[in-house]
Amino acid sequence: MKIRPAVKIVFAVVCACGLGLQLSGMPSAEFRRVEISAKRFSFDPGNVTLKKGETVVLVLKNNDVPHGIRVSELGLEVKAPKGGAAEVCFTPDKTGDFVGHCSVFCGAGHGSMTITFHVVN
Amino acid sequence: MWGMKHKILIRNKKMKDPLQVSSLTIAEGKEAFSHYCVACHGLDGQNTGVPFADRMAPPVPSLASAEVQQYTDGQLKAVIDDGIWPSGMPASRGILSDEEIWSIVVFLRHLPKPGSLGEPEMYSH
Repeated sequence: MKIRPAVKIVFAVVCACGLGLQLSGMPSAEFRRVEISAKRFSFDPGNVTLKKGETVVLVLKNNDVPHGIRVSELGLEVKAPKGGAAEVCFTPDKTGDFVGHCSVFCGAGHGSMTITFHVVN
Repeated sequence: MWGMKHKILIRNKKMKDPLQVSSLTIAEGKEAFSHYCVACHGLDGQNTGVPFADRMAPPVPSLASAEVQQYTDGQLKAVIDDGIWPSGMPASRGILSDEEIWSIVVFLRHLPKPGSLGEPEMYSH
C-alpha cells in the first residue's frame, strides 16, 4: 500500500503535536531537580548553584524536625514537615550569591542554619 | 542607669531596620517573637501571664513601656542580638536569624493591647 507524501506529513505533524501536548502535561518532569536535605542545624548541600532564568524543582527533605528555606531576595519559600519533604518550582531572576535561612524555628542553632544559592548566567 | 543604657551601653543607635513595615512583617515578627521571647515577655510583649515577670532582678520590663520604646530600632536589634548583662535578657544571635530579629523589632513597634493575645500556652497547664 502506498501512502501519499502529504498524508505522511500530516501524520508526522499530528505525532509531533501529540508529543508536545504530552510533555506540557508533565511540568515537573522536564525541570532539573535539586534535592536539599535538612537536619538541625544545617542544609546539605550548603551551597547550590543555579542558572538565572532556568526553572528547577527544589526538593526539601527533612531528616528530623520541621524546617524551611526562605530567600527573601529571590522570593523563595518552601517548608517541609517533620521527617517529610516538600518541593517547589523556582526560577531565579537575578544573579548573585543569596543566603537563605531556615524559616521554621527549630531550636538553639536555628538562626545560624543557612544555605547559599549562587545564581549565575 | 537609664541614661547610660540608652546613650552609652547599648550600641547600634544609628542602625535602621531594613524591613518595610507592613502587616506581613508585623505578622512575621509576631511569629518569631512567639518562638523565643514569649517565655519571659508573654505573647503581647507586656508580660501577660508570665508568672515570674516581677520576681526577676531587675523585673522583666513591659516592651510597650517608654523605657523600651525609646531605644532606636538599631539598639533594640543590639539588645536582642547580645542580651543585656547582668539582667536576665539572653543573647539571641545564632538562635534567630537577622531577618527574624529585625521583624521582631517591627513587631515591638506595633505591640497589641495588653492581654489581647492571652497567655503563653506553657503557663496554662
